[in-house]
Amino acid sequence: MATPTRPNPFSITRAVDLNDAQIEELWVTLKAEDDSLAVEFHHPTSKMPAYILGAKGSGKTHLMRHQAFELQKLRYQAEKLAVREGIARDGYIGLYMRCSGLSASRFDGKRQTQELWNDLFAYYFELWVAQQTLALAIELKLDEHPEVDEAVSRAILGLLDRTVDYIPFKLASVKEFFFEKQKNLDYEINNCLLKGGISVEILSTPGSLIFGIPRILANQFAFLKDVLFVYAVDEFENLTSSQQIHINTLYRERENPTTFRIGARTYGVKTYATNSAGETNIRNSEYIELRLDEKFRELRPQYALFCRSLASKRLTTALPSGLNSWKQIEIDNYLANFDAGWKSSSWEMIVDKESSRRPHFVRLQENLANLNGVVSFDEAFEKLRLTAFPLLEKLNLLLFYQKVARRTHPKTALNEISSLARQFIEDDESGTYAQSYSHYSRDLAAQLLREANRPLTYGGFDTFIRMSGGIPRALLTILRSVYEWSIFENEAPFEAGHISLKAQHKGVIDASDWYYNNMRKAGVEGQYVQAAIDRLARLFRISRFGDKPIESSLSSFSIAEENISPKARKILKVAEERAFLHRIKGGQKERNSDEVTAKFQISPMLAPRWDIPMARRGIHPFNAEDFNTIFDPDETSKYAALSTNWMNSVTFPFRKGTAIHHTPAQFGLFDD
Amino acid sequence: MIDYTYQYRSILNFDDIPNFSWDIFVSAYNPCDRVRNVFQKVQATRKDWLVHNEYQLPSNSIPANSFKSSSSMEDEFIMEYFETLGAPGELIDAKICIDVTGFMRPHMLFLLRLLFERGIKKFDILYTEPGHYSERDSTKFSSDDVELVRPVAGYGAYGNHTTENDVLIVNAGYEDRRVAEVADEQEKARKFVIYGLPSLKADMYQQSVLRTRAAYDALGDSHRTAFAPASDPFVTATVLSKLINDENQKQLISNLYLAPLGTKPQALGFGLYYLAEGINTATSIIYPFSAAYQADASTGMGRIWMYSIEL
Amino acid sequence: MDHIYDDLLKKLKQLTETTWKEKISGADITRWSKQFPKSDSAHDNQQLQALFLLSNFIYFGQPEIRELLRSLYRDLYKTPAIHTIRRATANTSDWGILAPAFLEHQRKTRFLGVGNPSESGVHLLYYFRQENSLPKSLFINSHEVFTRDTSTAKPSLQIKDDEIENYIFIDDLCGSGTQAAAYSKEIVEPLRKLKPSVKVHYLMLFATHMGLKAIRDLNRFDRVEAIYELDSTFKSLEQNSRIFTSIDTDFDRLKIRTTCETIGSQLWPEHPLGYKDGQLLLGFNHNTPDNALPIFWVEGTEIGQAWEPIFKRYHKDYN
Repeated sequence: MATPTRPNPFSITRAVDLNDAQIEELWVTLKAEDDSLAVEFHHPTSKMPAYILGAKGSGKTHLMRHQAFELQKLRYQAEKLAVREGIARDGYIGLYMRCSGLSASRFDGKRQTQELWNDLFAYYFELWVAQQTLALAIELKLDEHPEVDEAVSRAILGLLDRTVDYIPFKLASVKEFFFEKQKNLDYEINNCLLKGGISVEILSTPGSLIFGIPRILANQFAFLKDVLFVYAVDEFENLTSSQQIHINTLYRERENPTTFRIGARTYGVKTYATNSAGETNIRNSEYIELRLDEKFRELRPQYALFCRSLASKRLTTALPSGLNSWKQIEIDNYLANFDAGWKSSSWEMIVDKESSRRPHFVRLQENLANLNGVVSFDEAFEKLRLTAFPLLEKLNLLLFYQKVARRTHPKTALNEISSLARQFIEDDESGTYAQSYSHYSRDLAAQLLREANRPLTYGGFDTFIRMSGGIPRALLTILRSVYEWSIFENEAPFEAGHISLKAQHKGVIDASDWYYNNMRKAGVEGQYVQAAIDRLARLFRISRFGDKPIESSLSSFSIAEENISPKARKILKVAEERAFLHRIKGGQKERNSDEVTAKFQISPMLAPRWDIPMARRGIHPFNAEDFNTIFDPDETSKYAALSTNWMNSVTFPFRKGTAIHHTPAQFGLFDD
Repeated sequence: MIDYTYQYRSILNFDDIPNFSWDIFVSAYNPCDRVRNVFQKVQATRKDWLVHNEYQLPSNSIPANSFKSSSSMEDEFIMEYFETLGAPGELIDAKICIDVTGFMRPHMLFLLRLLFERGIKKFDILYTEPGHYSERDSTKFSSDDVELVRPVAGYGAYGNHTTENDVLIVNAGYEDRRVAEVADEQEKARKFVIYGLPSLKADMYQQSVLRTRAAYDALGDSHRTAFAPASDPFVTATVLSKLINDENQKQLISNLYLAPLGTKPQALGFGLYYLAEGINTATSIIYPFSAAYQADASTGMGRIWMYSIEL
Repeated sequence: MDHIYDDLLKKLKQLTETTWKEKISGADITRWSKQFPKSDSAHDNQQLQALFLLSNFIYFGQPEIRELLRSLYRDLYKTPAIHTIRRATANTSDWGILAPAFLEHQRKTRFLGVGNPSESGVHLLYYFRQENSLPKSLFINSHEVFTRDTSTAKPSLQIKDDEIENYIFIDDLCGSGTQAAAYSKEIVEPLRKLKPSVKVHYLMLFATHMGLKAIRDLNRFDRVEAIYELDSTFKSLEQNSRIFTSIDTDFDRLKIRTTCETIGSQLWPEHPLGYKDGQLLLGFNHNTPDNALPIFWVEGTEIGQAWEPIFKRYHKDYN
């Protein structure tokens, strides 16, 4: 019988499942060494509007809520600072709101004109924002003195297009008034088809309340004099194009003391156009952009520390209570791992004791039979084998194949390799052999494991960090799945003993499946992306497990975007937006041409699906034709041929001039 | 809270169907026995087929004189159909029967709303259970390609900008991808999952739980569960009513989202609840819309239910 | 074949995390499946076959059984009564009228279990009462239906409480119907003779098609209903079994049947595939019915065999 199990410490929660105190705890840890980044993360005092973009689970909502009033308040309390003082000191006040509450898709159709819907949306947005600003004002007790309350209320009502003097001049009543207007608008919009029409009186001009209310408050209250009102509008992807244009216009034409932070999924910004005389907002001119998971991928040490803290918090506190109630845990102590180094004794359990029976030598024998007796298998076997170090044995074979492909005489090759290997082992890792080892060891270890029918997971927390690709939620998903499988395997995860490699592997695969199925775009384009990445990854896999891989640790490619077909470009774009591919910074000019190429890596979350590396090293340059074959849904008929070419290039006897059209610039590739 | 179970429901024998007679009978066309056979058997002065574009049925398979519309919105589609029935005044006393077996849920719900709005508050609904789903766990009910999650037309809410106690109640069936999309859309809400128990067949409950588990990531591990019979709209509406009432007693719900992704009768129950208790509140029925849907995933005929609706 | 094993394992893991939570663990599954012979040939791998059957086993745990008991009361007893009352009161929808009328009806109802007081059918009554918050007075034992009038020379059978108009028998599973027939004969026939207007119903959570028909054919009860009717497709190893469909062509029904017969004949020689050839893949939190395949529930130690069940059964004793 099963005993009642503890709840999974990594159960899936999002920013929205954590309460405010818990979010604070998480952000305390993220300290960037670069101070300017820290500033952006913690205190948005820049007036420049900013987009905060991130993949699903990147922590975007965390960040935006961290910068919002509910959490400012908590921080001031912790510092024993009065709220007003705190705001004045920090110089900003954040109002967090989510577009999903607007139900934006209903501003459409129902036998009404698009113009009317645009006007209604703008008005609805005014009322929406105004209510939240007033709620904040009331929370700050700005209405505590009746005369001030009255003056401010009058001023706010004065912003409307029509005189409204039949409600009490109190902030609470004004807020209630706006709420009634909004509810009425909801009713009219929701039922206009049933009722046969809409009858709404629009009381305000776009921007009048949104900019006017903060201005009035800043003028009235000393502590707000130099304070920036930051409207943090999240879930921007829920708005239609024309609605986004409206918001774009608002922030372009913003008035002091107001600015905007716009939170969106990486694919969520549909347009930067505005209604201001046909102008488009330009990056670094009208707005700046912070791409969260991209940033995390760049700031590797900081992200790694963040991940360890995140996991430690989960483990030490079932329900986080105070701010100091967790401690850093040595998570690696609980995880079995596989030492894949050449000296590791773990290989003994994996490979056959007899070198001659190891699959790579069996293959060598088959391959040499095709060389017309230039060199005998026994000769080669003698020179290349290193029974105690199967990984080096593999490297020897790889070098042999490389040299043969370069037309070095096999016997010469054997002697060179044999001596270099000996030198490497005795002098401990020097020379060109060492360089080859550092490039190819991971791929060769993968080959050994695969040949022995073992899962390709090395285990360990660093693996999980790398796999998560800068997306904290992905890390949690991995940990959660690993924990589940460990329980199913009857282990005692994080309580006693190690979490086995088997459980880690199963967990990694489950997490990879989740990512593949849930991060993609819904709809047919999402399927195209999956298919394209599938084709791409299978090529990389062919290379990785070939006799002579094209590149080392191949998970990335480069392409000159302007040359590929429009459809391929679209799928590439969606793949990047949906975090199936990550753009690698620093597109470069190719050595011998003027083309600017972009570089991409397949998300490490997806790597286990095809047994390709999570690490990034080699970058394969594609020409436009091959790229279209992979990415353009209309061009896939040539894929089988492309795949065969790759297979031929990496398989003895390495027929030349086939797959690789482009002169490679990376180590380990071969000029013809 | 309202107990809806006073409304009549019964299981009909196939051969007894002609004993009833209606003025208007409408059914949504599906090329499967349980939809076609019932349509044949029913006695009514006027019998209409509706054809959903989303099923993408080949035009030579559609019965002659079916109602078609190019509209992709459920309200436009149903309004157009309704306008062919005559002036509302003529319909007030008509005996109406709707076979919801082949209907898409948003359209079924909007039709209910429309009838309600026009004062037609008593009518019969037929639903025929499937005999068997051929592929069990992996049954693909509709395109997994959700394009948009939005309120069903006629089931909107007024928005509450305070979102501290938003609640999402999902009625889960076999469509885990849809459940996940809806749950993702309302990330912040507290989540409840209503399973169909008793299910239509003994193995379906466990299957639906397994399917829904694939959406746990979106639902969050701390979601709560409740049960309502898969074939009973009245109990479903009652369970919903009680659940919501209990939650409001503990803390007022700020925004309430209802997602009927289980059986047709259960979706009906959600509609009944909304029409009786949800109009003009912060309650909406939301649904994950796709461009295309699979017409029918079942074979054979199960029980035939008749629900006598009293709005 | 590896991915088949992986897929099965994944499904089983998910079952242990949902409906089988706190009942079956990964270790239980390993322990049970290792009892089946393994083979290198995937098609003859009995361990894999066992896992396949297990992955199709339908288990209703405590929360589910309690919900079914709630449904039994509400959907098979209460709502039909309410509707009858409605029709007799000009279709009123006023609960102010319906509720008291129903309470009156319920006051004149008694619920009974089927079988010996220590058996699962009766055991169920406790949860039934609890889940539906019903007073104890509504529950009686079969011997409380009648009383003996000893005032006359020849003592005669009388109805103990003539006010009672409805007697409801409650059971969890009706397989062949023989048990229900046997238990009810001695009560229902004399009851009807003494009070022709009485209503006697038999309500179940689960019933096979065969069992339902057998009981209905007795013409003994006014209403015979089950929440779940298990038709012939629930006989898991027969030709139209619902678990062998187009997806699972990897599994050969006849081979699996042979495996079950071979081992089953060791475990329960008279009924190697379950009582009266039940072949069910069904279990409840309070017990596993003996119509289910013996490989799942037979406790080897009770019969001098080395066999560990996975959904253990607490066996009825038919002596």
